[in-house]
Amino acid sequence: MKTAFEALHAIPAAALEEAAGWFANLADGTATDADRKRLQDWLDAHPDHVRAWKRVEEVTGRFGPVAHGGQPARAVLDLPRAGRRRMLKALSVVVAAGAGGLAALRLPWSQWRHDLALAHAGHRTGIGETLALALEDGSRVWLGSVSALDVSFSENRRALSLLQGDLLVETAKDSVQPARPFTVATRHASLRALGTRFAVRCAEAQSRLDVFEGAVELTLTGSTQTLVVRSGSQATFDAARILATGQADPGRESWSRGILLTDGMRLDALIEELGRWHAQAMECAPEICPMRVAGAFPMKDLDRILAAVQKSLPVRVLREGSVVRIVAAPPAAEGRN
Amino acid sequence: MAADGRIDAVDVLYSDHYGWLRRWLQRKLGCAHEAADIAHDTFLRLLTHPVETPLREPRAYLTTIAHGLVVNHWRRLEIERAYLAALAALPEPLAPSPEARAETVEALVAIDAMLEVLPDKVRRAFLLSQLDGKTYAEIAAELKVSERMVKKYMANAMLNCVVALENAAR
Repeated sequence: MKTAFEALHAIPAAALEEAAGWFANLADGTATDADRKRLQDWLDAHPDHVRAWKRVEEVTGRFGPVAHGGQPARAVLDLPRAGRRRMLKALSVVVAAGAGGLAALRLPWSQWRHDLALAHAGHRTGIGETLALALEDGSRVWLGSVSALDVSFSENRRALSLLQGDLLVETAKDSVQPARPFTVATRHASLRALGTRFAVRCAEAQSRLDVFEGAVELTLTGSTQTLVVRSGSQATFDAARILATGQADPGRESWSRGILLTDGMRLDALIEELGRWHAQAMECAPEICPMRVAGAFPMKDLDRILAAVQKSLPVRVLREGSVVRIVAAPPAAEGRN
Repeated sequence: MAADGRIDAVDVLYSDHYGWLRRWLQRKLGCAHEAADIAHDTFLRLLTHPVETPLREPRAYLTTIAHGLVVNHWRRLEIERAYLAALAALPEPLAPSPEARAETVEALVAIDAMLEVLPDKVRRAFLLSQLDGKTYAEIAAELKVSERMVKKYMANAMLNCVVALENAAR
């Protein structure tokens, strides 16, 4: 307490103390008009009193969301504090154990965090769904099929966390100055936007970043390696290393407009991609996997896409029960076309 | 140009110690992403809460700030988890929207931090009044103290909160 007072310059401690006293007089809900008049007189007496009272209102204002949050929110504040302290202490011991002690704990802890985060992600999409979000700073993001995203904006940062799936980002100039950093985390890396439009896919084993405008600084989770990916480039990576770099693929943003762009995509990659957007089991015969497909298709129209594939390649699309199977077209059939 | 001087000083600190601090945090946290975040926040804190004199032990200073941020980070996780666990017990239609959830967690973290240092009875009196809307007479009965004592608790709790806010704002 004392140190807090000593450190205080801006609003005189006496004014804050008196304001707290006024609050205690009035918070019972039994205040009379005479009480309110006396408060008003006190406020009128000095500008510092007004500033101090504003702080009091700021404090009471913080209770609003919790009051609206109802019993679950209330329950958190009722938790025995000793228990919570113990929890913090236990975590501190993990920290104190240092690098050696941490190694063994790292995987389960991060996996646990990930699963919990996924279950409670702020934004989720199902198969074939996309979701367009306008963020509070004016940035826009699109979430692709079977994806999960958390958005956390604060005073200091604009932080997104892509837990799985596809994300397209179009950053805006921050409404707050100086601009807060805009970051996207996947389980494999942290991406920091340097004014930009970019797409991120987060899969189990690896993530991929395609930059269409501006640049993005990529920092791997499991190493201190960083890489600046510039407009027109892509990088594929896991937590430990950059696996591949190359040209950005326009197909990695066109899904946000409902378009599947296959600029010479391998057939097996196309089938895999379609599998992300449609609840349809699909298989591709091994010998035709390397065939390439080029074109623009409506993402939602699976029949049309499969018909186009059959038309442009020497293949047959067969429906066997609930499975779609793509096989090489028999030579005779090819001749008939 | 005091402000520019301050940014220059932090710039030097940043280029000299950022990498080291991040590795230090990564060893602590086991996660490069969180380590980078907290290292970043540490320098932000330096920018918004400048120190007057040149630092003699910059790394000790940085780790003190960073450690505080790490503890806050865990505290937030713990609160979030407790809240989500409490929510999980709710029937589906009553579950709040993601935005409302985030806002509530944010408020819980802020309130928890404000009330953390208060003695138990003071804290309970404050919550009973501000969240449950109880009168001083009701609170007095529940805590088995006099109404005058409840009023003292309330003033004490509020004073702690406004001082904490005022310090944070500087």
